[in-house]
Amino acid sequence: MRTIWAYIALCLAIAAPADPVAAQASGSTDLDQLKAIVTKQAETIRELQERLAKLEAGSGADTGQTTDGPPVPAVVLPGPARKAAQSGSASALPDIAVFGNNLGRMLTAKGEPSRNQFRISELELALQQRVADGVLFRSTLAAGEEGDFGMGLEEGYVTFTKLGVPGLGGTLGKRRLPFGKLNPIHPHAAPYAETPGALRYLADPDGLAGNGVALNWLLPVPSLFANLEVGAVQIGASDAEASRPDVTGTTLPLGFGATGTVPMGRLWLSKALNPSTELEVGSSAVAGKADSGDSVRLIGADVTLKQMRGAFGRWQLQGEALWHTRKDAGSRLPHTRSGAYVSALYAPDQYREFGLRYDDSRLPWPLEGGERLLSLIWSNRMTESSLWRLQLAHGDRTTDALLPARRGLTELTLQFVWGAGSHSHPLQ
Amino acid sequence: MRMLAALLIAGAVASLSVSAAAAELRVIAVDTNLADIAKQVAGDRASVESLARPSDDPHHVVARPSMIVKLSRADVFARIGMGLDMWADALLDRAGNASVQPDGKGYADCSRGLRALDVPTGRIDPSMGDLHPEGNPHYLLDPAQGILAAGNIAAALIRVDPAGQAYYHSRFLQFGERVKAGLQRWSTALKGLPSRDVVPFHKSWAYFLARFGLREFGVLEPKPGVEPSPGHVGALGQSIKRAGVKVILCESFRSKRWPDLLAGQCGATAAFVPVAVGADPQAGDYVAMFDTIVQRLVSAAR
Repeated sequence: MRTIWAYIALCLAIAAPADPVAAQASGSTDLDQLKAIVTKQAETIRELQERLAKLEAGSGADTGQTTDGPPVPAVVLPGPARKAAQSGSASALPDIAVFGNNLGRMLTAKGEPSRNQFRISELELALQQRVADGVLFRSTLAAGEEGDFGMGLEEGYVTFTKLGVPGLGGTLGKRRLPFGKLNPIHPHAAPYAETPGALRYLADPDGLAGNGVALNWLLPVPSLFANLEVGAVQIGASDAEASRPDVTGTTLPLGFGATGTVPMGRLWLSKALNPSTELEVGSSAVAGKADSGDSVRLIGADVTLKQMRGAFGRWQLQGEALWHTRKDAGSRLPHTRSGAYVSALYAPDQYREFGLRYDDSRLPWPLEGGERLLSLIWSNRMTESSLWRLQLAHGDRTTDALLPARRGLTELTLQFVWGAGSHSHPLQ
Repeated sequence: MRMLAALLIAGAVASLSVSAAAAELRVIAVDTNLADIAKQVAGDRASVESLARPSDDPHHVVARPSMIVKLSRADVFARIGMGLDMWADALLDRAGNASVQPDGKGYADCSRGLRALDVPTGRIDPSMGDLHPEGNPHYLLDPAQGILAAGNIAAALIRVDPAGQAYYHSRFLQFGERVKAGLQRWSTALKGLPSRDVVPFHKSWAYFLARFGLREFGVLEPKPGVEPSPGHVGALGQSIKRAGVKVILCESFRSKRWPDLLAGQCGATAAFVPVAVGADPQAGDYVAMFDTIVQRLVSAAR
């Protein structure tokens, strides 16, 4: 109604006499005329609204209107060109979402710059949209503490959902590799405040990512989900982040460690044991050469059991094991280091989740040390995209690679994740 | 490499044999309401399955790999749309089935043609709770909108299986008649309520209330998707007491904790009703589900 008044006032203002003196002289007469016009227009609008309501009610009667409510939809089939009639506000913009991941670490061991501080760890800007029939674009720009909050491309790829062969899809671009269950997940969406040591030390502290092509094929196995994904990706030195300084400033070759074009693959199987329980097993592999000429191979195996109870209750048991093998270019001797985690998560409702996780991992050869931690996790969801989480860990760390070493350490991590905007994740 | 090639060839052969063996149409619906509507329209020309269980909250369905298998073999995919079943997008991306992708012949967004309620205007942000920019997506709780959904499903079935057009059309008309008869019945039953005001747990009843001339007095959730707080429940309880509202309307999958607390404070009755076919033994199909909802609502109001 305010818009109508404003519109009328604007029309009158435009049509008003150009001579301000003349306008002043006829002041009260114009005001009366204006009031009369406004009243008449308001009556016209009311009449039109009544006619519209009658017409709508009439269309309801034609379709057998049986209640006093809105018109009952006509029992006729929709035409082929029928469009969605929702908000009516079309937009060409992609879905845009922003996520902040704040971490506060209360550490018993000294030496870590983030000790006893609560600050933002990473900020992500995610964009996604269907760009053509069967082609979906996704990108994530991330600014993290490690890179001094310089914005970089964490992921930028397109997914092809129609490749002409049933069950075949593909991706093109840079993304976190489909290696196991946790590596493809962004930190704000993971169920833990701290990533398990096996992934941080043997895959990549910030997630193993590569730039290239991959094909995924849903194998036609009856009553079983069997998905094979194979690809070739380029891992640059900066993407691999195979080397990073430890807490004392010494650079250590952490993570997968290979650069250049590498083949990767994942076989993912899943079976619904009943309508509420699902068992998943997977194996992943990626292999390549390090800058030093060493051959590097990373193999993973994962198992997940999910059980849904009621609308919101959920149990999830998950474990992953990684084997990192580095074959020295000189001696040709293979050196294998392994790591694993197992976790149990329980969500009694849609707001809370409780978890227990055990981590045991060594560092990749030739580094010595590792960590063995038992964690308790408590998550509290505020909205679909915002939550806070506490992770209390106790155990031994015998390396300064990422966090300070200490035997019998106790660490408390407080995480606050916030998000805004529309966003969806690929299924993991 | 040889093993991989052998695997690929074996898979391709199996793929062809699976598609050749599949003669009956397969309809996959996101929830049991749409699955039941699809069954009523498709009759014995199709098998119908739901991705969600009857006990699921459509907002919070856990997408699982076994659902991808179902979608990969579907001829028709019926969804609620309007952002309520966004979890299904991740499944569609992986299914590798052109027929059920958006714009595919078998894709049925059942909200097409809906006159949405609660469409937010102006700027919205997460501090307002989990709002849907396209409007309130719980339109299937207005039985009349079941006709709209059935029309969208029937149109997809006809696109995929034109030979069955007359059959689907006739079953669609029968379904429409059943719903219209139900509307008459439910409308009459609800006209006798002592108060037109109800307090829902979540803003999922807008279409139902509008259909039967009822009013939303307040909502147990302070904002959509946000857990009630003792302060909010206390203030709401006092207002309910003053206004004499009789019914707290809750989906049967909700925890009883907050509704019972509110009911204890204000003397209203919490009515837990099924909102999905199969969520209750009495909610055997879409029409029977509304019979149950209306019957429990009327009993709670007395």
